[in-house]
Amino acid sequence: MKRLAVIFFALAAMLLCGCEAGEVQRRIVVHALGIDPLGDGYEVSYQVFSGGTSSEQGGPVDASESTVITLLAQGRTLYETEESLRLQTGKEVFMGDVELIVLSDGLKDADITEFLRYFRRADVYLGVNVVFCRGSAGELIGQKLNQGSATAILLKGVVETAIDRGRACSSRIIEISNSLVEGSSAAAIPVLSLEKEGGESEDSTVSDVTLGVFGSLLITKDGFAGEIGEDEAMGIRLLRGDVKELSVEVGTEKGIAALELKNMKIKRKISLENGAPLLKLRIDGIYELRSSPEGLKESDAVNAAEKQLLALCAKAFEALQKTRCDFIELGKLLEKYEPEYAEAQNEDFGRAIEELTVSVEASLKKY
Amino acid sequence: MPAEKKISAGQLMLMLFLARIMHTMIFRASHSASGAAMMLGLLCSTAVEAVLAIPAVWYFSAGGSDPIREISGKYSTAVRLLYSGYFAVIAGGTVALFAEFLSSEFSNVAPPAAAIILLILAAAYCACLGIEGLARAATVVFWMFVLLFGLMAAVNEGGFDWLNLRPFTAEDAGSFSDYFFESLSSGWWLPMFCVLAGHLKKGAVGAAYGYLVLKLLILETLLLLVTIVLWRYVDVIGYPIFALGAYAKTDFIERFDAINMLVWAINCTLVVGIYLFICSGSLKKPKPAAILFAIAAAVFGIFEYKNGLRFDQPWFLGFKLAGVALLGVILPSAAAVKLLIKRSSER
Repeated sequence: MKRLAVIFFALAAMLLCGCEAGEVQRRIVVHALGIDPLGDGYEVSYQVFSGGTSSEQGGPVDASESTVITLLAQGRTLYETEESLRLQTGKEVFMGDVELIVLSDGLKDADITEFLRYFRRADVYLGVNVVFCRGSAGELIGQKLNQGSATAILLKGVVETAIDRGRACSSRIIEISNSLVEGSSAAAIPVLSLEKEGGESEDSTVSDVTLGVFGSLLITKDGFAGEIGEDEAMGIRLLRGDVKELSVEVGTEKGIAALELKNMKIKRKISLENGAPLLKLRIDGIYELRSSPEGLKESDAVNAAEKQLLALCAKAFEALQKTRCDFIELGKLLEKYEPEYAEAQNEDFGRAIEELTVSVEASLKKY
Repeated sequence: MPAEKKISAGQLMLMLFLARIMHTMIFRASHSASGAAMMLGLLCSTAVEAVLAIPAVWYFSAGGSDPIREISGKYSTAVRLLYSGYFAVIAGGTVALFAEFLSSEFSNVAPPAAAIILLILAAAYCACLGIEGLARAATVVFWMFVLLFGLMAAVNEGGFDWLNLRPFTAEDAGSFSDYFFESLSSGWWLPMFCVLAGHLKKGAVGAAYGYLVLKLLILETLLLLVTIVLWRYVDVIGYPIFALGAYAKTDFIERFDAINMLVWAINCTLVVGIYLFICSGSLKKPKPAAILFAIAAAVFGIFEYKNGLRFDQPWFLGFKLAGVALLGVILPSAAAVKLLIKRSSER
């Protein structure tokens, strides 16, 4: 009896779970998504692995440039485009390996929460970044660039480096989703742009198109709320207190100096002053002078860098006042430290942003 | 016949803990609450459980071994059937929610009814192996869970946002009371303890209060992590432990879904096995009884799944609470009083 039971459960375990090589062949592994508006619906570019002998036989997937292709599908909803891809290829669509999602800036007024819901249902990892791009997302994906073909890995690398270097805000699915829950809170979503370099290249094998993150779009749950540049995005990261490293170039009378700021610690404190919120920011960090023009004193370069940090915060504050969108977590700060004032705002922190004053102190020490 | 003393206090503590954590695994968050309200609700409900446990714990520490026989004498079979019925319903509800979790979170899985039947069959087999086998398996499954939980927490990609942990305000009173009652109604470890503590070699106090400390520690950690890392997104995913794994990644583990599924399935089998073992004590022949109650649990599980009945619906909350009160507090209190009177008259 015991042996019979063991055989039964062992067979059940083997037959009712797992997948064989054939199942891998019947799946299409999506690595990046590009979504463009098309009439009342969407055109979605799926960057997929075209498969190699190894992956066809159930072996490891080869993600190199030569095995990546882009497939197009259209539909009124994202579910319909997925179904269209399924019908085109005769395979199940697997989204668990998606590395980046690119939305055309033509979709900045669309309901982002609908996309987020779809990504959740489609099993996309919730740590994946969502970015906008100038022009067509379909054209961007797979584009020949200076850096190589715009594979998902390359695009993801460009976006993540910009985020790590403090030049854009992190825009993971979970972060955007959490930002769009409350009244005036906003997500600053990075914008990928293709820039054509000036001058003709003599070598036809080298592309003159380069890619980078050069700004962000502010999105609230009610839709598009404004656009900010790289400096404002850096300022937002400072005001949010979530930047660890930053490289700054400061202009002085004697020329441009470059400093690398590390181990940055930002303390935020909110209080009410004459009934209006006051955000006090204290930025501490260590610096490494990378380059300095001749004759420039190190202390002058450091002073200039500290002033630059204040200027970046001022730019972000200006954008905050202009858009009245809470992209610095002001609402959460007030709810935690000034709950009575926060409650009186009734989840709309537009008035609090209008009344807000910010005071910033920066102090840099030698590495 | 008195139960054989076969298991240690640590093993009983882990069995009770696994049953509680199984409930957390498959309990879909249906409303959002601030972290502080839920954490406070859990703390208060645990404090209440600690007080409610006193009669049962005292009874076993004072040398009692079977509170059911103590209180009902020759009618003990009828009272044992009450326990069996209660745990058959809990077992059915557990497998139904597990099947719901499977079908909502994974594509291309076996039909829910097939999953329920297979789980119950495996659990019935575990129940037939007896309390020693279940207790040993509980130790292994507990360490599997701790390893998984620790790994998911350690490699979580989200940063800690302490702003999410807001102070408790009057607005949170509703969420607090909801969570307090939900947590209290999940306290069926009390009736479990009344049946299983009879098998203890020694250490009833350690098993019961060790369980409460362990539960408080792990669930508060989970609630804290969910609040400061995932915040409102946990409402979207629904299952708190699963949500923790959904934002974790390592170089060699891209997704935690499959590992979660493995540990949950094993834990579900073991926990339902423990429930069926409790059920099997009501009839003279334990093995046929386990199979009989397994069939009842499977039928109830399939019925519950098909009709969308859930553990968090008011009738079920009431049923669970009533069971905790009657089988986990009132009956052992009566047994404790009877034992106390007997001891006094002996002196």
